[in-house]
Amino acid sequence: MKDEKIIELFFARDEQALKETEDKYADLCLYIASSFLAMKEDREEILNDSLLALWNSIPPERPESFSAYLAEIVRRLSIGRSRANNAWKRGKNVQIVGEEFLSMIDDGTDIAEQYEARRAGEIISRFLRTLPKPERKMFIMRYWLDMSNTDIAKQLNFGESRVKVTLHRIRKKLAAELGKEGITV
Amino acid sequence: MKEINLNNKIVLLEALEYIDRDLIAETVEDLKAPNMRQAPETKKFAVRKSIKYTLLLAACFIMLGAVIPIANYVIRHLPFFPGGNPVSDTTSETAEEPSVEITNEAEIPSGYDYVLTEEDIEMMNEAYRTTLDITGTYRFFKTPEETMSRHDSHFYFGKRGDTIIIWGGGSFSDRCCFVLGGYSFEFYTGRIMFFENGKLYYFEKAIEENILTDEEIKEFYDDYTEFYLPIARKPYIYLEFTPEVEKLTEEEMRSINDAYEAWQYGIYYEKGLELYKKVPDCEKYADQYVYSTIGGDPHRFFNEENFQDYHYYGKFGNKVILAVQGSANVHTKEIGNYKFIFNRSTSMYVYESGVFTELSEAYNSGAVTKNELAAIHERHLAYYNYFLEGYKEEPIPDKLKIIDSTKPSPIELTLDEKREIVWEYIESEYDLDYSYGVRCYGKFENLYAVMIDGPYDYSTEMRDENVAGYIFTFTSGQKMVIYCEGNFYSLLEAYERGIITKENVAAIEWDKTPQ
Repeated sequence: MKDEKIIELFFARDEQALKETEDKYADLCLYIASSFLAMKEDREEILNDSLLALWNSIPPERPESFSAYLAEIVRRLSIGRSRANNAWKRGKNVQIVGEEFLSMIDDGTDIAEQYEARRAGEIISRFLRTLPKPERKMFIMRYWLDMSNTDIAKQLNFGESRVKVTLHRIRKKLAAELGKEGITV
Repeated sequence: MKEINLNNKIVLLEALEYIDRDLIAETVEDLKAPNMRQAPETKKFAVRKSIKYTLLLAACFIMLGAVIPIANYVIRHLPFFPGGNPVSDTTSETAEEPSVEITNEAEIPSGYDYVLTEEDIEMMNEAYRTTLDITGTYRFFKTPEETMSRHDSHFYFGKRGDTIIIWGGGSFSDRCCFVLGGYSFEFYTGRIMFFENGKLYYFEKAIEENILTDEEIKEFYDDYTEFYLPIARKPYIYLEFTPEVEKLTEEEMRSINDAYEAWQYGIYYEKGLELYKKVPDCEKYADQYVYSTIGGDPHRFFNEENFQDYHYYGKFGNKVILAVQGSANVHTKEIGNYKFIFNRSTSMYVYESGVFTELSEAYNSGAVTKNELAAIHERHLAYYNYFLEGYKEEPIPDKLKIIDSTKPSPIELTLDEKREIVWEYIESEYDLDYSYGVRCYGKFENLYAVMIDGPYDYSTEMRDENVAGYIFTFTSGQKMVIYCEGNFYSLLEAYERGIITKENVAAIEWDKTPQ
């Protein structure tokens, strides 16, 4: 079923919307959740929670990209569950998300405000738009979806070494870009 | 401007939350998710686990004298038994729309002239469950519309006679190739399924039971070449389709891994620091590449599962021959009098005593003999025969755009020379979207010292390069490279390998200072 029709079902408060969403996107949701959560049971719970979050947010939301909207929900819930599971030191967890990405940042004592995070997000978005599409996708897959280099290589049909080298270069360029905007790294 | 110190990891993660949604959508909408509701272990791990427990159970029964029940259980449940290998990815493309939408009969292409009904779907599901001994009401095929989709991970070939033909993507690791009625079929992964009269046949059974007539096979093959091949992904190469090659022990594989990691990625943290220090020139990589551990485990480039993907070409004495694949771009390499044609950008190495040497260099220096090179080439032909049969050397695409460089070029190259250099330089079809300029600072028979203006001139710092007693100062941060017979080298590397001589270096038209 096309996404537009699924959204209409949500607007009509027809529970068939949830079934259609699950049929179409269960694998995608579980795949995204698997980057953050090792346990199958946790991932299934996240899927259910995500469907509920969709039900509660559409309407009034009418997302332009239904799959991306759903992916965002899944990701946030997965990160939240991961933190709750206190799995910071081992296994697939948020800390391992782009460890090399985070290593660009100096460790310090100040905690940035949400405003600063939003501003950094805008800068990152602007920077990503200067990259070729495959590199943009690589960045999103690695740091937003927390996919492994192996999985990224398979998705984009690249060699794994190319993924690693490209991400390394992107990080360097991004660090330079953040520096130009007054964000020290 | 206010200086913001993003030193809190949570804040940086928060920053990722504010990435523009259309950038997220662009990636998510193209994401291909595997069937996640199978067991979380990899298929091969599941095979090994199931074999282990099956054998343990078998031993217990044997001890109790129950041999027949064991044999029956093992035969019916080993995943690699023909017909016992579930296709996992056929319905994974739920994020994509079917590539062919039926609007009316007049628009239905050949091979698609049969529209599946709900009854067909029920029959196929029943046949699938029966063949794979799946209890319950599991539905592998969901709806007629979804089942009739056509893309590079799932393909509906229509109905020939009484036989419905579908290819499902399966796991990434299984290549599916067979000869049917004299026609050669190849799918990069997964299984081809034939449904007839309530039964599911995989290709082995379909061949054995002659379920298709000669005419039906020809029609199937025509659909395969006309509709499937243009969108097909190229298969991975597997050793079971190649000539006998000496196997490596686990220890040998581990040692190659350690050396490769240290050479390509610099510092090897967890262990093998001693090994890292033994790798020649390791220091020059130290500040370039630092690879991470993932989940606490050290990274492994080669492992048991992917080793075959990286083309192990066998052992010759102490020398191990490996090919490491890069991006998907047809790539040719001439070594000695042999032409190696790959379906991906590929580097071939000779590994010996912790050191990797390019095969061409090893051959030119005499480290690999003529006979050994002949044997390597023969193996290459066997690995790639499926690809080479249909391969035609493609001309450089017209789409490749060469423009005049904004900076002067001391030596003027022809357009053909520039096109050849840039064509070898770019790594994937995506790179054809950009324009390129080529400036030449030295030309020596088949060697060129060039700078290429394109999107990938990543800035390095202003720096000096010391080559053959000359100091080259680069103030723009751009690289000068030596191009030779399809390969690119830095100035220093080319000199140290003997590809360029001191005289060549002196003749390069660049401001340089004698040391």
